[in-house]
Amino acid sequence: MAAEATRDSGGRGGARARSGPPDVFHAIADPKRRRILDLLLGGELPVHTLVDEFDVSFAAISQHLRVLREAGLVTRRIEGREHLYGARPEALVEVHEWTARHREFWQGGLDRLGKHLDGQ
Amino acid sequence: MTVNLGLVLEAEYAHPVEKVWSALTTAEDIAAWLMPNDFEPSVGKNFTLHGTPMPGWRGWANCEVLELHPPHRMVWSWVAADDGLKTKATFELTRLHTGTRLTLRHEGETDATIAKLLSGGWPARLDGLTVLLAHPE
Repeated sequence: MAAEATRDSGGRGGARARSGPPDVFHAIADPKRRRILDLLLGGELPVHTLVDEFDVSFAAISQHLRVLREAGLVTRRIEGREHLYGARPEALVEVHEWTARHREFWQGGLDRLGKHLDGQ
Repeated sequence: MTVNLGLVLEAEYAHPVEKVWSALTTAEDIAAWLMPNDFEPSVGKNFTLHGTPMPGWRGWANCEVLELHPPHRMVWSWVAADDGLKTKATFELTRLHTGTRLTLRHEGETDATIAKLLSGGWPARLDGLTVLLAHPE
């Protein structure tokens, strides 16, 4: 068994650009991946338990887990022959920052709109 | 705490709805309170908001008028980053005795799904996140 790799840096799989927040958005856009995250909220689970939960192949679940892992939303730990996956909600911080930045932007705009209206 | 992913802001102005609507849908007014632009009030119109580049933002947003219901509701699509992440800004005006309430929503494309995810139990796990946000590196 190969050594643990926290990030797949090789060229396999879809070549999505690695710049900025969309990874998280993309990762949770898929209902199956959200369901996987829901399951992992209860604690770490081995891959075969996840496969049992869904009516899909091992390969399909592996692919979903890879996307989640690349977005930083799940962790993987290898214990003996088991690959254990766990949730990592801190990754949603990116989404929060996106919101905070926009909130500040719009708040400034709405304040200026008030002054603009008062001055008309 | 909860992480708000659908951004909602409200403001009240002591001016009639029609006046606020006009300020929201006239290019010169939008330039005064938001950013220089080539906005036109017609559905399907593509326009650009020109701002100042800053860390985290390239300095402009590509928008399209998706909905226009004078004088109550307007929706723009909004792409502000090179990654092409499409978001949506919705302006809604409500008539009040004292003037007008403006409700602004800015949502990511996947917003509803994020909200769903959060309602599925994430908030209970977000204590660590709160600490992280309160004490940024």
